[in-house]
Amino acid sequence: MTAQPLPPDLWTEVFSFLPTSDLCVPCFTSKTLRDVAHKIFNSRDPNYHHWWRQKKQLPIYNVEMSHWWKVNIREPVWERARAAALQDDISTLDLLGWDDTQLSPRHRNLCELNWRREMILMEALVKGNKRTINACHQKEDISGVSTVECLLWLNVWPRLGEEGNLEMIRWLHNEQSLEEPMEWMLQRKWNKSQDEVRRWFQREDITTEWLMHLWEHARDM
Amino acid sequence: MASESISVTTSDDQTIQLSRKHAQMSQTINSMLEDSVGADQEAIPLPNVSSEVLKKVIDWCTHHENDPAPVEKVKKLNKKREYKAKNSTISDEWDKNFVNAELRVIVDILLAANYLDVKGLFELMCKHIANELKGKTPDQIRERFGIQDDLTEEDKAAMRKAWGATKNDS
Repeated sequence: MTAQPLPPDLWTEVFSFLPTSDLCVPCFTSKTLRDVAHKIFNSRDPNYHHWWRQKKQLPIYNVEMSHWWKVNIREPVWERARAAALQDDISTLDLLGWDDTQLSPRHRNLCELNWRREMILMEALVKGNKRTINACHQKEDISGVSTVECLLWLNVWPRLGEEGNLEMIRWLHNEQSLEEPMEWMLQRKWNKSQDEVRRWFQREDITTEWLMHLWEHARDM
Repeated sequence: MASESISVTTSDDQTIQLSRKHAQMSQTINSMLEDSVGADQEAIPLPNVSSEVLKKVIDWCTHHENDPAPVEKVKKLNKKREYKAKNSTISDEWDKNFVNAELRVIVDILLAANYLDVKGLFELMCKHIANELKGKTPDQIRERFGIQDDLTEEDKAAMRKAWGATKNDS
């Protein structure tokens, strides 16, 4: 037995629980749902006549959905690739592209921000998303000094410190010879959680002179 | 003194007893009770609710009978100067099991909650359907909810443009 159809006023209530990006798909189902979605846009944005001009992020719940809007609506933008990197969603990254080279020149011109593979790597590093980091590694993005320089340029260290992913900080500390960026990270981390930094120092038995200096320095931050 | 239980008649002519406390969780029944003070206690007719669905509503009311009354939240503009969507997270484990039902039942409960004006239950069902929509393509939504595609190609082209299409054909 099939469900009864919902009247438009109830769809309005249902849609009030959906963020704007999730209202994209219902707009393409029927006139009723499209009109209800428009009503929601209008109620959310005081400048409702301009809602379509704002940057709209399309949903990436699964590859099927990403494929749908990629085929039917538009090519991806950096915000979507970034969201996939933050979610460690390799399948979606494969679909959207690890960089913007596969986008049409027209779309690239219209996008506010283009992206490169190092940017994906940075988001994955910040969150400690191992599948994406490994995929970057296989694409040879993570080896060599040039990548480290790239990460410096992308401001990865302060972000790592802010996120406070100890596993990643420790990994970078052990695997790379990166004393200077460590200072930045520890300062940010110290600001976020002093106890956590203290526990980490104790656990790792970090007693080298330069880190002890940092310990003192960070306390003054 | 008012009776502790109320009789209601459902759309399939079943008479069901429910406690006054549960009955008062429905604004619709509550209003009917207030209107009939002093009158003969006859069963309250609920022509839009079947006995199967009413039992589900009573189950929900039983679980939530001690919840505080829902408060209407004031909408606030976010940093982008837009009103945010309502939170669709269902946090109560019992509620998660409750909504784990066929779509037909979910829709019937939503319609009943709307008719009976049981705010918490109505909100729960709306959240569940909203969560059901997430991650589905238009075809999947149409199939799931029995919706007919009445959009013309022009309508779809206009929507594509509205959603930031950058393809040359739109």
